Amino acid sequence: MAEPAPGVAQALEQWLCARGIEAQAEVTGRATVGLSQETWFVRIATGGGSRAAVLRLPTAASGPHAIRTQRVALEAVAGKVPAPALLWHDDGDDNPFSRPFIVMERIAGEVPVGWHEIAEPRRTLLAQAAIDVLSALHAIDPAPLNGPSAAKGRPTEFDWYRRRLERFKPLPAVLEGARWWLDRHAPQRATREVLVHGDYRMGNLIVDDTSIRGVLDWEMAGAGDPMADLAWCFIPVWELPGVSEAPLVVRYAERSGIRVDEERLHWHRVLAYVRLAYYALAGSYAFDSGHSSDFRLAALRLQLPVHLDRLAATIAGEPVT
Amino acid sequence: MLRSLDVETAEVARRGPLERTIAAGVRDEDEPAVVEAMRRLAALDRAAAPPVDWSVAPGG
Repeated sequence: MAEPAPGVAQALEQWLCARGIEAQAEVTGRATVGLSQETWFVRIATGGGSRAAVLRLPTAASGPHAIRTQRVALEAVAGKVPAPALLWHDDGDDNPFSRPFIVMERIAGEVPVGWHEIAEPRRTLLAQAAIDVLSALHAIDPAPLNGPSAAKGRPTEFDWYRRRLERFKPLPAVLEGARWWLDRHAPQRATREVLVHGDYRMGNLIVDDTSIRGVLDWEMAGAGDPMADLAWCFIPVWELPGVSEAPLVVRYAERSGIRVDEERLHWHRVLAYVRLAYYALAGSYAFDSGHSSDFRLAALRLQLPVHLDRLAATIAGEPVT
Repeated sequence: MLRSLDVETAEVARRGPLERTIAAGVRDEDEPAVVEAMRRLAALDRAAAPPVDWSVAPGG
């Protein structure tokens, strides 16, 4: 896990020192999950003691706005849903890292890759807990996230992917068909936009036996349609989740007070599979074009036929396998 | 596109007509034909792709 981290600890110490905080920072590891940002585990000792923390830095792929969005989101949800406490941040690049960064508390617990990894009855208990957290999240005012970048679209909206898919043309015929279907069935803009996480699923949740300890990875957060998060929560990024969604949707409606329109939710499920197909294409392209040497991105292409099959099945109203 | 990514796909002879059906259905706004062809083409390509064990997949 641990690997050489030239300059990371020293840069953090230097930044803290400039703000009157005498601290010793030690890099204890680097997250091997996560595909778009650098995530360093650090231990920071000050006169008041020592604490485990997480340092996140943007990459060329994520861009600096990803860090700023996380900072704003973490401030907006603090004390309202379980999420890492923001310890320090810098929105600019005039710092020892030469890029924005955030330092968060490190929450103890595990992060299963997907729902399928969790045995029953714990899986259902955690799924219910995740729905309850999502209900609380959707009650938070999204206004702080309606900054200048909001005008460029959100990564939970179809337009965002429609534009980006253009550069991968010619697209697989199934994906072209799905784009056409989404246009034909696009619902009206949500009358009630909420603070959406944008990537709310197992894999971004720290859990213990039966509860959600923290929600991670807020870089896609923004104002949006609550159905986007609800549809995404159990989308099979890898394996099928193995949860019974219908009672969880009912639970969400009861807890949030937000009416769930089945057609709208279905449309967002279709969009979710288009998103997965886009990520597979973008990851493969990044690797093939030399923008990334991450073999995990190259491997995403192997999941593309699976995403497209599940996409077509969902549009056809058939169960996904 | 799938082939250029070196992803295994069904042979051209089987998938070509389905691709054309999707394109024609979109042009003619024949949604049932588009959805049916999408379903068959996606199933063909998935069947041709090697299964992958994603149990050690990245979580992020």
